[in-house]
Amino acid sequence: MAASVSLAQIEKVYGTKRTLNNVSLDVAAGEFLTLVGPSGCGKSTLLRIIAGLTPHDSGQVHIGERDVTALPARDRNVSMVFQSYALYPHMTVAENIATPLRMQRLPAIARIPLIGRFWPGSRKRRAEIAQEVAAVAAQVEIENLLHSRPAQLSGGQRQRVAVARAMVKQPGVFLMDEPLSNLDARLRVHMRAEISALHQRTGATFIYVTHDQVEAMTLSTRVAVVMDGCIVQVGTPRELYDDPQDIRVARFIGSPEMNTLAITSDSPHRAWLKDASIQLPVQAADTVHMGFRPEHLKLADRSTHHGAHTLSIPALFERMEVLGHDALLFCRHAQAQETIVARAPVADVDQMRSRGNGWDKLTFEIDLAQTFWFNAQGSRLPPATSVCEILPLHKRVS
Amino acid sequence: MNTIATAAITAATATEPTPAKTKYRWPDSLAWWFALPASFLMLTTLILPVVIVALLSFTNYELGMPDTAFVGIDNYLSVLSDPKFWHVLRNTLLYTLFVVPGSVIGGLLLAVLVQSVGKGRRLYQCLFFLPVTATLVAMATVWKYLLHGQIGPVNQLLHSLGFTPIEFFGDPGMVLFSLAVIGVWQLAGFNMVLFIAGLVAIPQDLYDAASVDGADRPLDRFFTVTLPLLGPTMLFVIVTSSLTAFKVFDTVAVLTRGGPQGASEVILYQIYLEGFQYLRTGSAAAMTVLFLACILVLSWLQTRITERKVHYL
Amino acid sequence: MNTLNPAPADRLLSRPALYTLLRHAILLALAFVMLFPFYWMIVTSFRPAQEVFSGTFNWLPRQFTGWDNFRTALNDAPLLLYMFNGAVVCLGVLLVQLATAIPCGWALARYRFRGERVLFGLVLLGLCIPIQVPAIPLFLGLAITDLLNTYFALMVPFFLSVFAIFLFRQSFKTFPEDIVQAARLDGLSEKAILWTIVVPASKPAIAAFAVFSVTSHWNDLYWPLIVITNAELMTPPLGLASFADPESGANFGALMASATIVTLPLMVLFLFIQRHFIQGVTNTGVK
Repeated sequence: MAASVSLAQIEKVYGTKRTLNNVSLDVAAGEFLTLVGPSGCGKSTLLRIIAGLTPHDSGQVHIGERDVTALPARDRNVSMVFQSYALYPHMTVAENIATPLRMQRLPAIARIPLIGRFWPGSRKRRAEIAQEVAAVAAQVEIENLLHSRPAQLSGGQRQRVAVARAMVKQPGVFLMDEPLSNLDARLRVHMRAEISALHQRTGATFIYVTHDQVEAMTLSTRVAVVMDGCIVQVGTPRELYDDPQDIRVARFIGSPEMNTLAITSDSPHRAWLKDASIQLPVQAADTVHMGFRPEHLKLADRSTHHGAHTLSIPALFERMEVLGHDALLFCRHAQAQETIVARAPVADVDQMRSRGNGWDKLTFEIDLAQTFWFNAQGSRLPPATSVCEILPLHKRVS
Repeated sequence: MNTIATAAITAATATEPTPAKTKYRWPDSLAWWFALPASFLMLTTLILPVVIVALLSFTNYELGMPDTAFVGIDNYLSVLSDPKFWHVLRNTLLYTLFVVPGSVIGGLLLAVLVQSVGKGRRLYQCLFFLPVTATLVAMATVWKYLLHGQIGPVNQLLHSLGFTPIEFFGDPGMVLFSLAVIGVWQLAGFNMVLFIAGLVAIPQDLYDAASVDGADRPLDRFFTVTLPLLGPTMLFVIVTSSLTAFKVFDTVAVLTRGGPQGASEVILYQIYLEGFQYLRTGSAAAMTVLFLACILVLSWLQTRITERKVHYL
Repeated sequence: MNTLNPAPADRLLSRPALYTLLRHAILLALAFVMLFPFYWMIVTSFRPAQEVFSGTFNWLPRQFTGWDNFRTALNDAPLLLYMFNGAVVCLGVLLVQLATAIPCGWALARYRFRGERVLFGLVLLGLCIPIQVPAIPLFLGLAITDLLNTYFALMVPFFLSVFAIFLFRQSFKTFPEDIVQAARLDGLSEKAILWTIVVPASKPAIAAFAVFSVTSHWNDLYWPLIVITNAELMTPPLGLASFADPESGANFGALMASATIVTLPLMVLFLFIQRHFIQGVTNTGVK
C-alpha cells in the first residue's frame, strides 16, 4: 500500500554547517520523486532523515497519515537501497532477503540459532518467510542465486539482491540512495529501466537520490532540486527544463549547461548588452542574468535583419565537438568574452562553412521567447518583451 | 610479548585483501641484494638453530660434558614417559584455558564499549592499553603485593567483606588462576586494540541496513552485523592469545618459580630449567621440539576450526 | 576513510543521554580496576615499611616517605644502568631489524625472483616459531665463541624479524606502482627508490612496528636471563627480577619504587605517541 510522505520545516545542523535549511516537501502516494543536486547539497541527509537513520534538529516527518518523527527506522514502513548495497556478507542471498521479515515476525528468542527452531509457531513462520523470499527473488530474476554469498555476485546481481531485500517488506515507501552510481554505463541504463518497471509494478512511493540529472529526468514523476540545503524547485522534469525558477536549477538541468550572460540594467525596464538595449517588463536590480540553452541558438548570416523579438549574439569561434548528428560549438561572446556553447546540427555547420564566410566570427540568433531572465539573486523574472537597437552613446541626442 | 608484537600489526593487515600488483622481472641478483641481509640472518639465527635443536634432541649432549653420543629417540621417550612433562603440559593448557576466554571476551567487551561512546575514545583506548606496555616483570612484583596472602589489598578487601583471605600464590589450587588473572590483565588491552581495528573496518552502511531491516537494538546489531563481521579478527585474536598464553614465562619465573609444589610449572619454565640450569641440553632440545609441535598444532587446529566459518569476504 | 570514529548510529530516541552515562560509568569502573595496580605501585613507593606491613588498607600513604624508597632502590641496584642497557639493546635491535626487513619486504612485495616463494614460505614459517626454539643452539654458539655477556649476545636472536618482513611486505604491496615507475623514469636506482621514496611514505607502518619492537624487547626476560650473568649488562626486566629476589618479603616500598622506575619510561613514551601508535595499528594496511 503506497504511502505519501510529507516533510515540514526540516532543519539539520552538522557542527557549524547548516546542512538542511527549513526544508518542506510533499510527496504523493505512488509518486516517483527524485532528489537531485550536486555533491554535498544535503539530499542524502534528507533521505536518511526520512528513513529515520539520522535524527534531525527540528521539523516533522509524516509517512502516510502518521507522524513518524519520533519513530525508529523499523517502524516507519520504509525500505532502503544503499549506494553500496549493504548486503550482509556472511549471509546467503536468501538469508539477506529474509532478514527484514525475520526481524519483523520472529521474536528474539526464535531467532537464536539452533534453539530458536523449537519456539512454537517458528517453523510455520519460517516457511512463510521462505516462500515470500522465493517469490521476490523470482520477480528480480535471482532465484538461481539464493544460496550464493554476496562476494560471489557481480555488481548488477548484488544490486538486485538489495532491491529484493527492500521489496520483500512490501513497504509504503522505497528509498534509494544513488543505487546506480557503482555500475558501469551500460548496466546503468538497463537498471534504470528495471527500477522504472518496479515502480510501475508495485505502485509504491519511490524517493530516489542521485546527482545525475539524466537519471532524475528519465525516471521521475517529479524532481526536487536540492542545493545548499534548500529545495530550490519541485516539478515535473519538463517543468524543470522548460520553466526553471532559479538560475541554479537552470544551469543544473540540461546538458550542456545553459549559457548565462550577466547584463547590467541602468534603468527600470531596460537592459544593456553592450550596444543592444532590451526591454524588461519589470524593474530589476543592477545586474540581471540572461540564460539561453545551446540548442535554441541558431546560426545566422550576419546580414540577416533581426526582428523585434530576436536577439542577435556575435561570437568568436573557438572549437567544435562533433557528437554525431549534432555538434557543440564552443565560442566566446564577441564583446563580453563570456563562454557560449551552441548546439547545432552538423549539416547546418557544414553549410555555414561552405559559404566561406570568415569562420572565426559567428552570429547567433535567439528568439526572445526562449530566453530566461534571472535577477541578481538568481530568481526568475518574467520574460523580456522586445528588443530595439539603440545608437551608440556618442551618436545619441541627449 | 614477542608474539604480541607480531600480532597487532598483522591483524590490521591480515584482514585487508591486498590487490594484485604488477611485479617486475628484474635480474634476480638485484632482488636478492635486497633480500640478502635478512636471508643471511634467517639462515644463521633461525633455520640453522632450529635444525640444530632438532639434531640435539637426538643426542645426550650436556653442556660442559666431554662425550656426546647419538641416542636416537631416547630423549623423546624419556620425556614423554615422564609424568612431570604431562603435569607441566597440563598446567600450561589449564593456564591457557583460563587466559584465552578471559582476554578475548574482555578485549571484545572493551572494544565494543569504547567504540560505543562518542567522546573520550582515545583516552579509554590509551588507558586500557597501558598494562600492555608495562614491563611484566615489574608489574608481576606489584601483583605479588596486590595478591599477597596477608598484607595485599585484595585480601584486605575480601576480609572486610567477610571472606577468608586467599593465598593467591601460596595455595597450589589457586596459583594457576592467579597467574591467569595477571595474564588476562596484560592481554585484554591488546586484544581490545585488535578488535577495534576490526570494528572500524565494518562499513557503517551495514548498520544502517540493519536498522531499516529492524535490527536496531544493541543486541540485535551486535549479533546481526558486529559479531559476524568480526569473524576474521576473532580468529586472529583467539590464535594469538592462545599462543601468548601458551608461552607464559615471566610471571612464573619471577613470582612462583614453578611452586608451590610444582603447581605452576609451565612448559617454557621447565625447558629453561632443563636446558640452562640443569644443562641437560639433549633433553631440553627434545622438549623444545615438542613445544614447537604443540604450538604448531594449536595454531593449525584453531585456524581449521574457525576458518571455514570466517572467510566470506 | 577509516578513522577511529565510525560511531554506530544510536537509536533515534531511546534516552541517549542515559545510556551514554551508563557506558561511561562502566568504562570508568573498568579503567579503575585495570589501572589499580599502577596506582598501587606508585602509592606504595611512597610508603614506609611499617605501613606496608601494617595490614590495614589506606588509599594514600599515612606517612609520606618522600624519595627514600627510590633512593634505596637506586642504591641497591643500578637501575639506571639497566635502563641504559635496555635502551642500547632496543635501539640496536630496531636499527638492524629495519635495515634488513625493509629491503627484504620490498623485494618480496615487488619483484619476482627465483627462490621468492621459498623465502616467503620461510618467513611465514618463521612467524610460527617463537624465540625459545632456537634459543639453545644460539646460546651454545655464543658460549663457544665466548660472546656471552655482551650487548651482541643480547641482540643477536632479534636481528631478524620475520614479523617486520611480513608487515612491510603487506604494506609495500599497496604502494602505488605509478610512483615507482615515475621514479625509474627519472633515473633513480632501485635502491634509491626504496630508501628515498617508499620508506618516507611508509612512516606509519614503520613507526607502528618500531613501537612494538621496542616494547617487546624492552620487556623481554627469557633471553637476557639466558645469556647475561654479569650484573652490569642486565636489562630492566632481568635486573628487576634479580633485585626482587632478596627484596621479596622485605622492602616492598623499595621494590615498588624500582618497579615504578623501570616501568615509567615506556609508559611515558607510549603516552606521548599513543595517538600515532594506535592509529598506526588500526590503520596499517587500510590505506
